[in-house]
This record gives sequence, C-alpha cells and structure tokens, in this order.
Amino acid sequence: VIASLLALALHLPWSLRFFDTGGRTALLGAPLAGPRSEGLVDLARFGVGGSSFGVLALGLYLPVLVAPLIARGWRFGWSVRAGFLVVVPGVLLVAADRGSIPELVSDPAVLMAPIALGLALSAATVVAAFSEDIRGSTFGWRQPLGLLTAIAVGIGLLPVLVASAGGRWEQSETSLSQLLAQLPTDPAEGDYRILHVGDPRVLAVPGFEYRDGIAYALTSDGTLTATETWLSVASVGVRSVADVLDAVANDQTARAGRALAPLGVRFIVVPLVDGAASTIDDPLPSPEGLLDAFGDQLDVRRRYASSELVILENTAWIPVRAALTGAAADASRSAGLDALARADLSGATPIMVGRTGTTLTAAEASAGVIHLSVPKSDGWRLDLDGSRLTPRSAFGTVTAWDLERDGTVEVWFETPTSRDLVVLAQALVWSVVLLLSISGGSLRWRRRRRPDVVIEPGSDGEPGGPVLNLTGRLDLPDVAGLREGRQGGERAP
Amino acid sequence: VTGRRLAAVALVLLGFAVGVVLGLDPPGAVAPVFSRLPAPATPFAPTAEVVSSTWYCPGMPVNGAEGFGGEIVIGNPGDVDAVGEITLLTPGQEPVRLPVIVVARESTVVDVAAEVTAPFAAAVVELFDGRGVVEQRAIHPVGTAVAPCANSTSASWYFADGTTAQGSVQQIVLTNPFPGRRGGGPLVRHDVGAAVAPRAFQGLVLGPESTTVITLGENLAQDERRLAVTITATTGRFVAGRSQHYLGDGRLGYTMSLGAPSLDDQWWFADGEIGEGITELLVAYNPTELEVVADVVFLGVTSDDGFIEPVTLTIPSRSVSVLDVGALGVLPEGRHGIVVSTLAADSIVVERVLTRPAGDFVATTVVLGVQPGFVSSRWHVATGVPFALESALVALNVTGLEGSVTVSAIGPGGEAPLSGLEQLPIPASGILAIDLPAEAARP
Repeated sequence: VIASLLALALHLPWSLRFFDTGGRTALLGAPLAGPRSEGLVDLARFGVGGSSFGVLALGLYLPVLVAPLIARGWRFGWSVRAGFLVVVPGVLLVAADRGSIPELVSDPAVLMAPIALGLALSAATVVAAFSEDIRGSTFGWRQPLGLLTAIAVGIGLLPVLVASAGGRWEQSETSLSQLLAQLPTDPAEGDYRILHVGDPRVLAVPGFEYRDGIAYALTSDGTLTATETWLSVASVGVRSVADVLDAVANDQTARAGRALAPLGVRFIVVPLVDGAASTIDDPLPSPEGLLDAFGDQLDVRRRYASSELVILENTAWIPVRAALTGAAADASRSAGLDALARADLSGATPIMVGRTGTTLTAAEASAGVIHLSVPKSDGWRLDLDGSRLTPRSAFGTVTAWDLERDGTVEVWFETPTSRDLVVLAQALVWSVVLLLSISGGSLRWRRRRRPDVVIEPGSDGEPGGPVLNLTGRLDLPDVAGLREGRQGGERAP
Repeated sequence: VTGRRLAAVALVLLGFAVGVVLGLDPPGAVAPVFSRLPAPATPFAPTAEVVSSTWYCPGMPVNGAEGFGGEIVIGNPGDVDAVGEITLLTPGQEPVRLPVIVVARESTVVDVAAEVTAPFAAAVVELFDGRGVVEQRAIHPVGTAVAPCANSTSASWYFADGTTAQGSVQQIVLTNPFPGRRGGGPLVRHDVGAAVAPRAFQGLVLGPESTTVITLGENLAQDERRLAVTITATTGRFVAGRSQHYLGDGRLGYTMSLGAPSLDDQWWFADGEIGEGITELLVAYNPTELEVVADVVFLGVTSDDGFIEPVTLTIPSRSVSVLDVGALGVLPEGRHGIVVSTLAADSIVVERVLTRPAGDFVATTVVLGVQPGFVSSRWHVATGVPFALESALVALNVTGLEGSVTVSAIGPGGEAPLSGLEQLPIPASGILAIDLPAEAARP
C-alpha cells in the first residue's frame, strides 16, 4: 500500500486522473454488461492454447501445492508466499469472472499477473528445493514428488511453447487494425477521426465507458500506433460523443452524423470479432440495437460489413482541420445537439491535410472560419499573416477562429510553461528517487562487507587469537562466549 | 512433515477448493444493450423530448399530369415555431431539400408537385423545434387520399388489402430515405391462398435516398381480386406505401396509404358503417406460418336481443380472409366500431374497406386499424375540413366507462374548444360521430 501511494505521488499530477471521471476505466478498463464467464479452466490456463491442448497448462499449478511440502529454510517461506500469490488473486479472479465482484470484471489480466508471478515463484522454489533440500538426502517421498512436479512444470509449459513458436500466440492472422487499414490515410478530402463503438473487449483501442458493456473511443485516420493504446483524458469533445450516443440510442434524432461532424468523425467502427476475446467460432454478443439505431440515421451509411466489423460512414462529416464558409461557418457559432441536428454543414474545405500533433503548417485560407476539431484551449494559436487571432468555441465543443479577410494562417499549440515546470519537477523528483535507490544499494553492499559476527575463541575475555568473519545468515547453537557484531542477526538468503 | 507445512498446504488447498467451487457453473454471458426501442407501429404524435422528430410520407403521384399532385401538411400544435427540413425522394433523381418553418399553432401545406415531377415522390420531414404532426395528401383525378406519415422506418411492411381485378392498378412505393443502399433486397409476396414470391423482385436493391415503384396488375398479379403483400428487406429498413386505383369489382376511387410496419394481435377501427348501398369488408392478412383464429367484436351497437355475438374469423397461414360485415345480417344500420383480436401474438394485419355511394358512383376508402398500444385519449388531425361536414370525426370509446369528448381548434391564441363540441358524452364501448361546423373549416 505504501509503495502504491509512493508511486501515485511520484506520478503527480498525472496520477490524479485515476480519481477523476473515467479514472476507473483508465485503471481497470470499461465495465462489461455482465460476468465474463470465461470459466475456471480457461482462466487457470491463462487462455493459452486450444481448449483441449491448453489444459496441460494446469500442470503449472502442481508446484504451488508441492513447494511447501518439500522446501526447507528460506525456500519454504517463499513457497508459502508464492502459494498465496496464486490463491488469493485466483479466488478473486474466479469470483469476478462470475460477476460476484463487478468492479474487477473488466480485465482479468489485472489479477492474472500476480497469479503468474506466484506460479513462477512456486516452480523456482521447487527447483531450488530439489537442488538444495532433496538431492543427496535420504530417499523418501520428497524425491518422486519433486521429480513429478518438475515433469508437471515441463508439461505445463508445452502450450505456451507451442503457442509462442509461431510468434503469433495463436492470434488471428487478420487483426482489426489490418481491417481498419482499408480506410484512407490523409485523404485529399481532409483528415478525419474514427469513432469506435462496441464491446470494450473487442475495441481496437482502449475505450471510454458509455454504458455497461459498451465503450467508445476516437482515433485519427491512419495506422493505429502504440500511442492509441493509452486511454487519454476524456475531453469535452470526447464526452460529447456520449451525448450523441444517448440521442441515437433513445431515438431522439436521425442526424447523428451532423452531431458528430464537429469532431471530424467520418467513420464509425463497430467491431464484432477481434480474433482474441471474440472469435468467429465463439463470438461475443454484439451490443443490442447498436447497428439498427445507427442504421436509422439519415446521414450515416454502411460502408463495409463483415463478420469481424461493420464500418459506417458519416455523410455529414467535416474535416478535422477545415476552412468553413457559408452555412457551415454560420453553424459553427451554434452549440448543442439541437442546433447541430439542423445545421447545414456544407461549405467545409480541408486544410493542412496530413498534419498531426501540435505543430501545424501554414495554409492559405479565405475569409470565413478556421475550424479545428480539438477542444478549445488557450494554448492553440493562429496567426493570420503574422497577426494573432483570438480563438472561440465552435459547435460548443471545438475550436475556431474567425477570419475577416483572406490570408496565410499558421496554427500551432503553445505548451504552457506550467506544464514544462511540472515535467521538470517530476524529472527532479525521479532523479532523487533514482539516486537514493542507487546509493541505498551501494550502502547495503558496503555494510555486507563488515563483519556480521565476531567469534572469539575462548571465554576468558582475553583478546587476541584467530578471528573469524562471517557474512550472511548464521544458524548457530546458543553457545557461550559468542558476542554479536553490529550487523549480527541479519537474515539473508 | 511439520505442522506449519501442513497448515500452509491446507490453506493453499482451501484456496484452490474455494476457487473451484466458485468456478463451477459460471453464469451465461450477457449481451450489452445499446438501444431497445419498441417495434415500429401505428404513427403517433410524439410527446417525449427529442432533438429532432422525423416523419416519412409514403408517396404522392406528382407525375405532372392534369389532376395529379401531392401535398404535405404539417401541423404545429406547440407554442414554438417548428423549424424543419423536407427531403423529397423520387425514382432516379437527386433528392430535393426544402427548408420549412411552421409557425406555432399553425399548419403549413407544402405543394410537392411544385418542386418535383416524378411518378411518385416520397418525403422525409424533419422537425427540429417544437412538435408537429405530418400527413400527406395524394391527389388523383378520381379523388384525394389523406394518409398519416410514419414515425419510423421498418424492415417489413404488410398490406392486407389490394386488388388488380378488372383493371385496377396497385402500386407499391418503396422508399429508402437513408444515404446507404437498402435491400439485398425486398421480397414481394402476394398471397391468394398460397404464397408466391415473384423472382423479379427478389434481390431488389433500393438506391440511397430514392423511391422504387412496383406496379402490380401489369405484368405481375393480373386480375387478382385479393392481393396481400409483404415486403421484407434482408438488410436495413425502409418505408412502403400502397397506391391503389380501383376500377372494378365493386370498387371505385383512389387510395394511397401507409403499410403496416409490424404485425399485431389486435386491431381497432373507430368507424364502420352499415347502410343502403354501403359495402364494408374487413380484410385480415396472416403472413405467418400458422393458421390464426381471430374474434371480430362490434362495438357501439346492440341487436334486438341486446348483444351481438363476436364473429370468429379463421385466417389460414400466408393468406387473407375477408369478412363482409354487411352480409352478416346482425348489425343494425348506422355506424359501429370494430376490434379484431387473436391470441396469436404479432400475427395479423387488418384493414377495413368501405365503399359508399357517391353521387352516381361509389367511392372506396381503405383504413388500416390502430394497434392496441396506440389507443389514446388525445388525437391530432393535421388536415382539417374545407367546409362544414357531417360525421367528420368518429370517436370510439374503448373502455367500459362512459366518457366525454371535446374537439378543440388550435389557433394563434392556442388550443380552444369549439363551440358546441365540448364535453360531448360518449357511452361505454360506444362510438360518437361528430359534425364539424363551419368555424372549424379551413379552406
């Protein structure tokens, strides 16, 4: 607990997001509609290997039982610790799997990590015990039991070896990311975003919670990268997606496309099968009514459909970075779903296509509105022929600048100094922690070279004679004439 | 083996045992729910808070010929002006979009024929502020047919009645209001005792934002007296209307009506009539795989011995049964209400066909029943009457208690009861025919 609190403090202020809206989702994943019901055996074998072959992985659990029986000394202590590392999270995992602990339902990997660690420790303990405690001792039940356990571990590793041999860990040859690659990258018609909606277990990227069993996420056009695997903070724009989803789910509008347009959402991806959590043979149930509800939208059409995913296209989308004129420029001054539903969004011209991040290039623009589908922030800057313009909120969620004349615009994000200071402060704190860690280790190394115990032969109190320096643990009988050294009594393996 | 070893092993074993017990018989997976909306049904005036309300009008014959046309009537009973957008959809033409503003407590009529020329034009009406009710008027040389516009699209549409007898023309107008293609495609089936699935209409694809017209009676289903139709899309949802020009078999006139977007087990009709020269037919269509037995109960009338026995109507699978109400000989002359119900859930569609004398000829009207979830204590009528009219409105009390009916007009000052039409008593399970005075007329 102390270590966790320390880690939390070292990651301030970023760690505060776990206490904000969506913090639970960021930590444990979006909640599911019900229990995962993976089943005891699937959980125990970590879902590795085919259901019949993978059952061999259960052999890895034998050391957990055997280690406390055959280990001695420090190895016994570690065998017990390993056992509890397996059993306690294991019971929680099984309870969560059947829905008894809804808070832990989302991602079983959270609890599987300590179980895997416990299994590894148990196996290591058995090997150590076999080497240190059994080998060479009188033949008894420990030898065959130890041997049997070693064989069980070997067999238990077979599914892992087979699954990892090809490098794919038996994952599908075709991933959702590959299917999404069919969507255009940096198209001439403008950069766009993709709204992923569906079961959080099959989303291509971590999603924000919409309702139990349904999550959503926004990504930019182009190939998915590692940066998309981090769940960002839910901005005003991202949160507005939930409002649109509500309106669609409750049949309150037939204009979801217009409502999503300010965010640059061109495609809506509903994943069904990802080849891992959901397979063709054993698919997860798709969210009820999701495709039907989007199918009733007057500005959303089906672009691609397969057993793996459905891609819908928003026919009313506007590019992420665009110059708005006419009706679209007027519409950008309104806000709210009501206004968006009636908005005429024609008159959007893409600009700065292919530019990502916070450093954008210059572009020629006509008088009108420069639209940037990111939440309004004081950090965004726009210069029109060198003159700074003030941003305003557009469509209630994103950023826009009003251009009263034609000219060259430059757009970029100016990172606040406060953020740089926070990063600097964090770097300093981490440096201190690193230094302390290194120096602490060095100190311990030096101390170990001091005499642990000084044994002076004879008990007459006369100094002199041979002196024996011992390091490490010393199990000695309670003999007279033994005097403790300053570091005496330390127990170390 | 020492005690502490045994204790450690026992604890680990206990943990394993708890895990195994907990892991036995895990509960089944639960599908997440994004949206669970009721099935599409009878059009209604929405009262819930919405961002925008959307109405789908089935189609109007705006072919440019003399006597043909179409109008969209939007009523705004609210206190806020309704800003809207109308999209006119036609076969093979780009959609035409029109902005519309309906002033609070007023109604607006949009002349569709002035905007597009096509065999049929369907319309999507979106209202972004205020609440409204939307109807369409299909204008034909032999008459004008008023039909409500649908609140929603559906994957299946059903028409119980239809005929191509003696040259009558039945046209099904399919509208895809969405930007993506629909279909893979709608299956048309006309049922006359046995199902027929015309190959020509299998795999039919509805283009985005367009209408498709299927004409029955030309090359398909010629001279059929009874023609029920089911249209089902394999993917997506759409809108279907039926244009029917009656030219024989005891019927004359023109109707254009919305199909039934779903099956049900109960259908209500406020108005039926027995009289000299009047023919009233109940046409029940069962597109399911099982035979359905339904009870037809007449309301608002009594016989000489005080009670009219329900009539049992058997509707074979994938077939149509017709009940000639007048031929039963049990109903007195005058108006009556009807409810057709069955224990077979979501199994039938029922339409009432009424042919009345009109001058030297007859005029046929067809009404789809109201589904049970949509009987209401408050009704809106967007299309008024052009002059004072007897029995312009007919109300049916579906309860066993006496009640009263008030007819209000909506004007600049808000909703105001019409003089003489306040608190009109209506008997339990009875009907009330209401004459609309000249002050309620709107030319």
